Amino acid sequence: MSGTSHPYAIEAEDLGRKYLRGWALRECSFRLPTGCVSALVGPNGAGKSTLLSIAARLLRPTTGSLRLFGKEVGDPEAMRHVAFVDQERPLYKRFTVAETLRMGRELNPRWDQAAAERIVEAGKVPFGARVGSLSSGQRTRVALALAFAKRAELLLLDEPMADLDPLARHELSSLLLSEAVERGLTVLMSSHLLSELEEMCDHLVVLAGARLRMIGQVDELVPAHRLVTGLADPGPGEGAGVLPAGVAGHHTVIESRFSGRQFTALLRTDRDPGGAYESVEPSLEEVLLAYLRSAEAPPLISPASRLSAEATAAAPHAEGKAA
Amino acid sequence: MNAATATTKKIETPAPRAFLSLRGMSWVAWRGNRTALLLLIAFTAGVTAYCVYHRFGVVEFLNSPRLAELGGLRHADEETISKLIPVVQFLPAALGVFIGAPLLASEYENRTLRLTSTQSVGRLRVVMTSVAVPLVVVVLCTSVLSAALTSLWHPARGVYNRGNWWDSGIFFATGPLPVAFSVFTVSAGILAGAVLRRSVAAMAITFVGPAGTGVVALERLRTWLAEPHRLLYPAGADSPELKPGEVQIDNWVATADGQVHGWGTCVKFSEKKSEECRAELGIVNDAIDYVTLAQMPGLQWTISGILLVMAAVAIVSTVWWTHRRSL
Repeated sequence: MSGTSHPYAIEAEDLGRKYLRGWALRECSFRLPTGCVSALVGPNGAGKSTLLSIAARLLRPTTGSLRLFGKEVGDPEAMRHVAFVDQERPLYKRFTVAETLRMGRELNPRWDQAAAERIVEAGKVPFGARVGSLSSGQRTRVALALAFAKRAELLLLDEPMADLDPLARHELSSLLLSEAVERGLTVLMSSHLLSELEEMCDHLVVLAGARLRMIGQVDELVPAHRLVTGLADPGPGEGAGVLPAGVAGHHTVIESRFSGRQFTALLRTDRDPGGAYESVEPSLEEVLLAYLRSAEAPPLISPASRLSAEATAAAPHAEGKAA
Repeated sequence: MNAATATTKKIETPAPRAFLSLRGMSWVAWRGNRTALLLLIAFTAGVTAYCVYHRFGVVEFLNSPRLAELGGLRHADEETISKLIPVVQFLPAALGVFIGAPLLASEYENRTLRLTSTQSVGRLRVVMTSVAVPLVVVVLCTSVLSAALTSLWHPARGVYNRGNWWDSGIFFATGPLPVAFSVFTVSAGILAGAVLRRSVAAMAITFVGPAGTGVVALERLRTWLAEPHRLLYPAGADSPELKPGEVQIDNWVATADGQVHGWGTCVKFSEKKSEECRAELGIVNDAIDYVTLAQMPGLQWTISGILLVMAAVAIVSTVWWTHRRSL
């Protein structure tokens, strides 16, 4: 069965991973539609690498389950459909670049040697050079060549752009997008900087504090919010203002800040609150930062990213409030 | 080679030759350990050639009248075999430390097990092949080395070291023992590396444990397993001459009905007291325990069997541990 015939590349249900020091990921339930290019964003230690490692079968989840194209992540069949680029780009240092590509050929039945060579040649990486002698950017290029040439349907990339120069970043972004469009690839790539991935991605997964904070198509996440400014109501204490009842009472407040008697609030609503408030559509960055700063705000999981009804019933606590 | 300045030139991967027509994970495991395994193969070839060369001289001497004149091996031949014994006897310890211990530990250190495990091959196969390829090379090389030394020593078995096979180290350097001991030390080293995930720590543990202690433990095990023959002779008489290949490993004092007491029993300050003690215990004989050359292969195979069972336990534990743990 081709992996792409399934509508969802990733389905996570109550997924969690606990270490001695605490939870690295918990109560994570979502699904990622096949064919989307998704940014996995969150601060350092948010659980991004943990989620990717579980999907790459390197970590076993402590709770819950993960399915790739409908198959349990432990199913050997699922491995062929997934390519993974590790954050630290592990490669055999004594292998030459050509031998590294041979390794890819030996271990992957659908290996595309021409694609791998094309990516390596584009970066002017010598085939005869030992991997240990390459710069970190060149190593990243070789690691990406291995992942692309595997001809998997799902690419999991952990900080793929971190050590690439702007030219290489641009070139590999173009390659990624063209591959995604031509072959219907699903991509999930992590970064702690949204700006690194913003132009490439049509889908966003946000993790913070080991929990899922936001997930959905970029063009449906932003319009679901309004950035409202106006005069705050006088609060019970000296100088402290509170959000007007017309704002706080009718909408889900993600974040509010006060400056003198002025307030600025990010609301989860698709319509203006009316009244004497100024309301604009926030930028993606503003929405993201508000969710990252407000740990108590309910997570936003777009309808398309929610698990089906029966899966939801199994893990109701992970869904949060609907947008 | 400076990668930044080197020109981009495609190096075609040569088609695998018949000898090394390795595919898939086997090729990766071979390439990853190529330097160490080629060194081992070259070392094996060198020592084997040395053994074969000297074997001609030894056999020629043994068939010549000079053997009767000298009453034993030539000093040079004795020296040659004596030099080779520790090389083969202690090679398993070195293999455990330098091939076994870093095998998976370095994969963990460099995170390359994460790389191979995320290709299209299952982790179980990745681990099993990574372990199997070096083990096969170790088995082949130690088999050849052991066979080479055995072929040098065997024609001279009755005369080398005056036929004393028990104390010369030849017991541990010939037959199946070097192979089984190597498989054990390498397997135990691999397990140490898989658990500790640090090469230097795994090498140190392997050196002290299975390799170092193993050498001593094997001698103890041999003594414990040996079923020596016992020879009684009148107390105070000259001990009987043993035949070539028969080695005395213990002696006792014994009663007329064959009950033995420690050699120091009834050794008193005065002859009179000693006599009284012997009379009281009924000691009339001395006894020696000895082993024969015919017992050597049986003992070697028994110890090898024990080592191979322990090696199998180590390998199964390694695969289970590595398969179960997060990478």
